[in-house]
Amino acid sequence: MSFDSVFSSLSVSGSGLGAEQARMKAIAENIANANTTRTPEGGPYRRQRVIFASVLSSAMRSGLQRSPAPAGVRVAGVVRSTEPPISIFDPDHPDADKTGHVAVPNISVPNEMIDMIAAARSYEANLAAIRNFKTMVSKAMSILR
Amino acid sequence: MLSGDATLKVIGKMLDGCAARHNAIAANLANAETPGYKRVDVRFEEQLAKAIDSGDARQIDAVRPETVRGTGAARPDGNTVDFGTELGNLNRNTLVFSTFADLAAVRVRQYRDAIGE
Repeated sequence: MSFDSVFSSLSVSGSGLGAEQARMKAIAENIANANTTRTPEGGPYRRQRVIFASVLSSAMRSGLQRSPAPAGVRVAGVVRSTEPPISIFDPDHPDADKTGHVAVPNISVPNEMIDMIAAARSYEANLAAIRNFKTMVSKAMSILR
Repeated sequence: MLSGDATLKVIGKMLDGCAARHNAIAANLANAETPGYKRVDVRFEEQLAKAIDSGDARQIDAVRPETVRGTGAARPDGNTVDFGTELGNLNRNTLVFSTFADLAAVRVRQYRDAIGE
């Protein structure tokens, strides 16, 4: 087993941490903008969603390991929800149209919270993998001590 | 002679296999939310058991951990990773690795005692 492939699990777990962080950021923005009716693009804020894709590390791509090989994860993109905004009746709102309706973001805060719990759990799982790796390395180091 | 010690060879192969399996589990956990991802697993135990049964040190040398597509039911998004199972595998794998690292340390200690270090 080459040196590169021994430590590749750290970069794989690291990619997991980064991806979950990006997801957490998107969720935070969604919750923060749950009532935003004005955006630079115009209209109400649209929910963001992070798309994950698996990726092979350079050591694995160079053919050191046969396929299927363990892969890291990356953020393939952040997409905006295409769901129509919710229309609520609020004639006093400065952004209300002639009929007194305001278009507000189609964001369910409870749903975002659940997504956040899932992201936090995934993040912790990647941390656990790193912790376990550290245990294994220190154990291996102690063999010849 | 240390290099001809079949016990150490077997322990070394177990450590190799566990390290490779850790890579697979880390990848599965990193991709737990990736749509369409299929979990990977590492196979080497059957190969190692056969090599031990043969009693041929060269066969033990030839054992290589093999990364294979793991089994598991797919979720609606096509992903086959189960979080709980994977975390369980992670901890078990580390425990097995630690046990065999301890065994290796004992073996090395025996040699040290034998040469009176």
